[in-house]
Amino acid sequence: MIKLENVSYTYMSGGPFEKKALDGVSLHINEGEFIGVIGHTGSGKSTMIQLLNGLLKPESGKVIIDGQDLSEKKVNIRDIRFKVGLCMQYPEYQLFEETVLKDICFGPLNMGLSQKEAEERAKFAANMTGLPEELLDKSPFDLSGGQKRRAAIAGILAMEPKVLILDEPTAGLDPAGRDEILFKIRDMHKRMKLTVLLVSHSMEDVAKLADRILVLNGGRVEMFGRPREVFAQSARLREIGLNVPQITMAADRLRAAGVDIPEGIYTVGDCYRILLPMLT
Amino acid sequence: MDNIAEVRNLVFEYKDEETGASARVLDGVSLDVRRGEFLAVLGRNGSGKSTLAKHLNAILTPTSGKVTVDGFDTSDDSKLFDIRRRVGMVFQNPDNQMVATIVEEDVAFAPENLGVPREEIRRRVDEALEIVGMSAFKRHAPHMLSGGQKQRVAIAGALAMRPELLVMDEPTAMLDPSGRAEVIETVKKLNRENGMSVVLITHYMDEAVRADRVIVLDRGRIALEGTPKEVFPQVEKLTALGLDVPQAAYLIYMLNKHGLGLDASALNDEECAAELLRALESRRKGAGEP
Repeated sequence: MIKLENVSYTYMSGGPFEKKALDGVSLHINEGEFIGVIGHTGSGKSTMIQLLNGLLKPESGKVIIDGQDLSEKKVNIRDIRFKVGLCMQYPEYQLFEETVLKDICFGPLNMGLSQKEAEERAKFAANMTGLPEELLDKSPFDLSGGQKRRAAIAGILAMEPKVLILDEPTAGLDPAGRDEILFKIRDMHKRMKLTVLLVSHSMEDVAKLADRILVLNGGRVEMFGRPREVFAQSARLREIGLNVPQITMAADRLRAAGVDIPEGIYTVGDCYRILLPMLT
Repeated sequence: MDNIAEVRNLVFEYKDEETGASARVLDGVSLDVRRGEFLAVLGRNGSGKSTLAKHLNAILTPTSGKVTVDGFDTSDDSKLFDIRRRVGMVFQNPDNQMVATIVEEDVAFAPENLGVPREEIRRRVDEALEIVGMSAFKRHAPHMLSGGQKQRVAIAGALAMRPELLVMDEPTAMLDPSGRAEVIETVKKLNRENGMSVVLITHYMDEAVRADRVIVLDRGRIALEGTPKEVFPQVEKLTALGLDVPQAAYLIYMLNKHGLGLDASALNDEECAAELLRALESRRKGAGEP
């Protein structure tokens, strides 16, 4: 579904503030995969997601989405934008219409769908994000923080993209609001067979949902693998300034003290199942 | 006086503009903020945390009940100046708090407004930036700073008023992990080394774990109160209140369901591992005996 071949991108190339944001990145993401993208500020995450929906063009290398090379002249970038839905950080700041329904319809109408089709899709998308139908006639500004964010995500979902990229979708929410959004995203992924890229600072969130985790560092791919493979390298993760789940660190300490516990533990449940027989 | 702020039976209601009905946000809250303490306030969205914070420097005043700061009643308009001078506030969004185009001018904004003499302002600004570790950036433009750096400048701005109490309303909610760590380290140092009283409102358990005392609000009332070691082992209550439980505390809670009797006050990976090692060791010894 997504293929990056030796992609590099430099900001303010040639100037005194030149900054290499991506440096020879190659990777392959399959259709229907749920990918967690982790990296601290400046690791190249934002640049990568902007390349994936054509907001930026690579300086060198190829970005291929659903078989289409984005650097080819005949590719219509508009189509790519509909195919790759990008939900930016704090998307609720981008709500602007009189009603929630109109706001969610904005994308599909822009694609050239009829009013009726657009509204059908909007209602479906609102339902997918867990936004109650009675809120659709309200002003988006009367919604709570969590509801606004769902409305913004629904607006992207209503375009029925094949790939959904979410940049920090839970930033600023309380624990209950965060869990609700994450579970809804997992639902969408399953029911709509979406390819999802979830960009997050929270290792715990990513670990709960992702099939594979992509760790970026200094514009390069540092790790790309199943959660267990990634968390097995916890020392390296901390070295590059990332947080490791507390349970991973506790398990690492036990192993260092000679307890027979495997590497890459990242859920309380796994740790519990291993320790319980040793303690009873 | 041992308390910098005292809240007694605080009730706060506001009228909904559309329906005319009154909504009760705080429903009889009583608490003391002790001098020199680091108090964390937790609670889900809508629990009344921010409303409580705004009562501590008289942005809001009680519908009924009483709030005093250093002995001054926040409902007494003539004491507003005395109260605001004693309580520094830091909010969630760093970009909304910057008023000047140069860091040191931003920090100087409050004391200038208070009419502090020029040399004294210079001294206070330099000192405040030193405390938050931002002296090297004093001639920089705030918008070129990272989120964590901006929040440290916002803290310096509050410190330049020489407050007795620093109230912070989710200061790390919009920051990345390294920005969060920067801000919390700064607050911790300020509390420990400068004796600053701190009220920190947060969603993050790992921040609350570092406080002296924790209060959990729920529907406008205090639902839990105590030291982190008293509060966080209460896994079922915390979950019911819509809060996270530290993974270390959750693991020990699960194991204790089997009657293992582990010390449930472990709050971080180090304490958790130490307690588990102790239990494994004593089991090994027990098994070795005839």
